[in-house]
Amino acid sequence: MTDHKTSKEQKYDRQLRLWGDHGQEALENAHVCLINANATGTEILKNLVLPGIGAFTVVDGHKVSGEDVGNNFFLTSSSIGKNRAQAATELLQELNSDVSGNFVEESPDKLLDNDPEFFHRFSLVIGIQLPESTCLRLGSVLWEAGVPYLVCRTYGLIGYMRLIVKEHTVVESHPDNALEDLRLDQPFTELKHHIESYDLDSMEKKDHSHTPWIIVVAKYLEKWYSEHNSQLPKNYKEKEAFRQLIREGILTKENGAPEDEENFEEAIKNVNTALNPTKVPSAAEDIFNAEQCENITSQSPSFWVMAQGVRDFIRNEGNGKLPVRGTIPDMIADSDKFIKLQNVYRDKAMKDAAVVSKHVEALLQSVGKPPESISEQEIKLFCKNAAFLRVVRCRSLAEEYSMDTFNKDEITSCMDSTDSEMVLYLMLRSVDRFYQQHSRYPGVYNYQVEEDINKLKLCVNSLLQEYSLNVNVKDDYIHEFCRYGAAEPHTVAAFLGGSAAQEAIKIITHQFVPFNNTFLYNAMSQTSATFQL
Amino acid sequence: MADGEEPEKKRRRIAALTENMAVESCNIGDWDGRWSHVRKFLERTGPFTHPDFEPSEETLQFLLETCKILVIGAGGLGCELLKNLALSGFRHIHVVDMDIIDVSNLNRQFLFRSKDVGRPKADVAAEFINQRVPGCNVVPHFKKIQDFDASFYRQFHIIVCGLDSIIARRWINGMLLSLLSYEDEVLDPSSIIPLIDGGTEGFKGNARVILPGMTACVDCTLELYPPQITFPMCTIASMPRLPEHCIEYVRVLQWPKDKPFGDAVGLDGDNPEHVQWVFQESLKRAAEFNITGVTYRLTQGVVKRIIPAVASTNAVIAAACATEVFKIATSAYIPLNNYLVFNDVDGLYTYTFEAERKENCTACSQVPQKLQFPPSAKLQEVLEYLTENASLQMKSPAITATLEGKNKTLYLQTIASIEERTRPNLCKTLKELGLADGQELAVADVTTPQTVLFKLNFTSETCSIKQVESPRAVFGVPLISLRKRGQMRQGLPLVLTHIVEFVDKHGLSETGLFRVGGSVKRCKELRKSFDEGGFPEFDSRDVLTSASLLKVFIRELPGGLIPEPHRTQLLKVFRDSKKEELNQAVRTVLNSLPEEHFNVLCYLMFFLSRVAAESHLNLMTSENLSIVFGPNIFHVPFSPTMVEEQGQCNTLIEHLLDNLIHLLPNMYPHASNSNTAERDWTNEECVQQLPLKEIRLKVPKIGRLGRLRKRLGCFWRKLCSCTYSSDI
Repeated sequence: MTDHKTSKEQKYDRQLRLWGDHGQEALENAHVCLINANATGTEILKNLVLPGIGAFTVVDGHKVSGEDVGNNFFLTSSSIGKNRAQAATELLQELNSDVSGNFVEESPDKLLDNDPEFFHRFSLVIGIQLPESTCLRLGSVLWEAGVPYLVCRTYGLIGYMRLIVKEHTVVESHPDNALEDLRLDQPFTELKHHIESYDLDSMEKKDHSHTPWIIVVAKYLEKWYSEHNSQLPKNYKEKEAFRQLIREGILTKENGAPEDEENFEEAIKNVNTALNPTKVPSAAEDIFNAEQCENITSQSPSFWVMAQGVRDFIRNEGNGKLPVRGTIPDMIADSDKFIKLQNVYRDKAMKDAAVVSKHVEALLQSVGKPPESISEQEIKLFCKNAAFLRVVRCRSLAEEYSMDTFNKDEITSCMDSTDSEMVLYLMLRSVDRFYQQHSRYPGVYNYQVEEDINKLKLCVNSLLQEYSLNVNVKDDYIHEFCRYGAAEPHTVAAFLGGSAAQEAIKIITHQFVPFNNTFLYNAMSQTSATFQL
Repeated sequence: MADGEEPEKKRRRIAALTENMAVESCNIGDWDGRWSHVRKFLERTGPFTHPDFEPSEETLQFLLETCKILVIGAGGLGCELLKNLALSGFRHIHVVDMDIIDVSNLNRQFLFRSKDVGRPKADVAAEFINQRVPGCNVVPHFKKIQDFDASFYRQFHIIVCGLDSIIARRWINGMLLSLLSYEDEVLDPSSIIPLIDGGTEGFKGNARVILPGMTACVDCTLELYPPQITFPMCTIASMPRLPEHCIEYVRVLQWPKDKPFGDAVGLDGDNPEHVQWVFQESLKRAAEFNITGVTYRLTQGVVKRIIPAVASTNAVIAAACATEVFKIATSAYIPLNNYLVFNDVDGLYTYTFEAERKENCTACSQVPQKLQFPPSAKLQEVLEYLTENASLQMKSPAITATLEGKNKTLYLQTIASIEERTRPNLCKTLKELGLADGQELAVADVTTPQTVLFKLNFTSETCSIKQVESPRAVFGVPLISLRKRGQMRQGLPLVLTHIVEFVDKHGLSETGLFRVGGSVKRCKELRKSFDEGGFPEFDSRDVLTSASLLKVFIRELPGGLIPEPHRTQLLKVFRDSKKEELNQAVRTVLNSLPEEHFNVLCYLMFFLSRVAAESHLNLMTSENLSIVFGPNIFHVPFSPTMVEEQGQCNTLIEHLLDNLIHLLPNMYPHASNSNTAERDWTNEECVQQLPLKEIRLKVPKIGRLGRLRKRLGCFWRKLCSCTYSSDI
């Protein structure tokens, strides 16, 4: 068992460094459904099977064609004529023995007719190259069931993805550059005491120059307060005066020249960020004010239960502030002083988290749930990330397609520039319209390309008319989409395969932030864009 | 695909059959429809093709039978590349990789299984592809790229790299540059082998197309790679604070002392016993200092300098690279020009821009390289310059010179015996070594297959030691250094006031001032003169060049005129503040700027407001000025929202200009409205609406984004990925 665990740790080492053991656990508990095992589909699954998704189920009623084998790495010529779900599952399964692969030899339409609840069991459903009608039908089933749905499509040199998830919460968004949480403007009692334990004036040079800058700033802030009515230095003039105050604290040599005290330099450099007033970021504020945070029931996800716990902390013990994050940046200091200071913040963070924990416990009890249904560990993580919480809410497909609710403004304003990736979206919608009318995609065969250009143009116009969109779609794009003939070049499928798999991992692990809600990739120009439709 | 009605279906099937037969007949082993996805692009014309493109069945034949591709690296990117190329119709593929398969590769290098651990990556990858994709012939080379010479590389039409080492990238870049042939200084295009390069790190990646000799090469953009993170030795040795410090202590100091596995045994990050030892010892050291957080995983990460990696990012970048190979091989589309950045930490973000060639690039410019030192400089200084200069970044340069007709090695690091013999030279001066002005120094390094020739230019003793870091330099120098060196008066850099006063006097009515570029050559000359301590005369007929110089000065301020974190804070208050609170909030942030920066900003802004006030003549409204100066004042770092952020930064500048008197104290001596200068600018009530006299001319927005993107290219600071090499 331990052997298995360590070998898994080794195998997944490079990704565990990104999403941690708990992210991996979420991945291993997930079951993803893939509809249609064409090149885009198998490439996505490949990138989920490799990192060790728990299970996948391929739904596909097609028989493998020669074309399919041409662009798909997980089909071979010997599988021509067999069911595509089965053939692909065999070769995908072979990638990773930790993963359980399943297949259903049926078309999604049939499943939707006979057993729509089939789809309720999955952590995520990924639909590839679906006809519009199927896509919308499946969309409404999954929306009702609250199952996240990712739509993907490779059409010629164009990649398209649409994410439909009612509400997706993220505790660990892993922001790239976050401000520190130091509380120097409003030090908590333990920090105050710790600061008081220092006396810069009576220090030996070595200690003086190895006192963490946080302490240095705090000390001179006390001095400042005594001369300025206990007001923080606010504007430039005051902050500069404050810096000067610190500068004057640098020890001097016998000849009067200042000593080289890097910690003081750091203090001066950090005056700005260090004196940032402590407050709840507006994005987090929105979450605490959300209706879901207010109305906790026994059905509420733990995210919202904890959110209310933190909110109660802010309103009571926290005096308007978030729980202390408990981390400090590295800085010039000797080990002992640094570790002691770090522990002051860490201990306070633990205390705050314990208080939040009490709120959460009470809350759980009030809705009749056992207090252990949310672990201490989860609460600590939540408190630590309280400033970076994110909630993603996507619109439904029904809203996107309805005449009353489609996002006309976004489409029209993007189309001010005729080469915006938005034109690709309109073209894909027109191609679907073409399919509805002709039961085939434009330009599939050489001899039809010319006539299809005009037919597709009619579809573009009728789409624009129907939605009263007063925008200009260049003929070049109509011609180009006919050239594609619904081809699925492998490299474009592989691009989507990578990006869709990563979005799936975000949805499953609740780490990092998924896109919202439509992504278009143009392989011709190697550009992409995200729209909210 | 579609299951339509009968007659249509039949007609299609017949058409499909005849189409397929045309190709299948000459490709034994292919099956019906095998290439139909690819053929749509090769046999049909379209509006976005390369001008050279002609639809034909021959192109597929070229791919299948003739086109020869080299894939360098059979790792995360390499495996994907081989698959992508094989399924796009490429059959003659070579792959070079010097590594063997490790269990930690299996989470993304999908051609390898547990049973393959320990075997060469190139061999296993080639076997797998050849077996899975009939007709494909991948030839593996379990070797280093340096094991091959020009004749090997010359046989390929296109080379694709999936490497994790900058040195290897630079080496192959240098190799392809060495294959170029010039006739009468004109590049022979047939000697160009396109290089497609991909790199990934975690959720970030980039793909680029290099046409050696024509577009920016790896060395042209060297300055964009962020420096490697290192911990100061004193921290490691005597005051560790982080778990990483403890591990580094054991790795760097304790291992060589304790020799835990014998005298000659160096630390091998792939040996679990070694890592375990480092881990245990690091725990002890950490305990000694009450440091928590040393884990086996962290130990391994620090020891091996592990770069996190996932299947998905590799898939994305390799796919983009392979698409570019296909475009170049077939002309079916215009290739990427020339750099794509990808990041999917927060949403999905790509950014495409044109990296620019560096005029005096050591690798590709054909411009003779100069080394400027006084005769009294020691060889050590030359060595430091070669390794530390941002655009050279050599690793272990070997320096030779021809003295009295003989080749003499002045210093060579890589061979211990020679290093020992040549080490005394490092302390000698150039003069003592017998080197003369104009002497050629040949420098060899792992970063390039060719030796680089430098011409030694003796500078006079009093003049700068190094061309770039002269103590008199005023461009690209932190404002605080200018102050310390006494190159400021009344809180403003002398160079700045010198330029501004001139432009103010002669340029306010110049159409397109700051937007229209001046003479690049003249601008450089002026700059050089300033950097050497001079105060050159400006030409009043050529104000635009002086204006360009001002932009250069602002742009090159390290960290930007409005540096971090102020930049981020400003953007935030700009986004989040209520309208009535905005100015107060902006002021608060601006107030917190370092003094020198604040002064320069005030001075510059009030000067620009004077320019804007004359926009009926110069057409430079505050909006136009903000577009020009935004990217110069702010160094927007790489992020998913970079383009958007730059736009916001520009808007911010526009807001500053439009609300100047509410936001900044007037430090400009000839302010247009002398009353405002005396007002207490921090007091909101005193400064009621006093609009600047400015005639706003609406400029069309078309092309704004295009210009912006281009401009951003120059400000590329922190390029993601491919920065740390695990195998240096």
